Amino acid sequence: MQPTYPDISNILSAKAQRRRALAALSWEEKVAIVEQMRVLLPKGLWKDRTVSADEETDKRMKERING
Amino acid sequence: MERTLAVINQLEQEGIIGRYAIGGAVAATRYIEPVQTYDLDIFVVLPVSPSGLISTTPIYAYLTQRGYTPQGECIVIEGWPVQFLPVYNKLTEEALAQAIDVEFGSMPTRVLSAEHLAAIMLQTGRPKDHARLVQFFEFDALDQAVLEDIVVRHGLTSRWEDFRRRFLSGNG
Repeated sequence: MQPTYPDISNILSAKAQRRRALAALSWEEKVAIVEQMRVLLPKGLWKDRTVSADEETDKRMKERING
Repeated sequence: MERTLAVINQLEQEGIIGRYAIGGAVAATRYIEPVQTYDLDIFVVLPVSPSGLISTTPIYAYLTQRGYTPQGECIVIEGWPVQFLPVYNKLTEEALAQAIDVEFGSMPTRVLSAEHLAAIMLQTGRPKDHARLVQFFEFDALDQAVLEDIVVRHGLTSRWEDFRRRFLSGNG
């Protein structure tokens, strides 16, 4: 029996619409959102995560280049 | 961020820094949806010492005297970790020279153009730069003719073609 899956096109469409609405905000409004995002994640943790992610990416790219 | 920019404007007015402009994720946020970032990147021309050296030491000295604290490679100004990035090649030099005069709230400032940001992303070429550059196309934030002119003049043609092939197939 073939499994049936829900149609999520409405969800994806709503997400795309929300992103367009966010992009259409003023720069000041968008920076206010960025400031909120900074508050939501503890300072040190975020930077460390970013560095780790970049280091991991660099490592994988080097492995790919070097075979 | 307005208060942060007021302090940076003061740095420029007092000759501690030369011309400056906002780059990085905060600049990108002007053109696309909000981009998560930790710091405010400021591209800057630094005065050259009599011996021909450039240094961020005077900036740090000026700011720490006024109570602002270094944090890693940044210095926190009115709540924003600010990273001063001296122009480091011809592309960033041109991007700063052609930065756009804007206002953030009531504060005059400058921001890199979308096309120069895009070219810098192409040149830097990390996965997150590519991902962000895709968003510039998604939100129709670029004049492609202007971008291609920059790309050609700064020797980024092969990177641009590679990017187009990988991420913009069917998008011109």
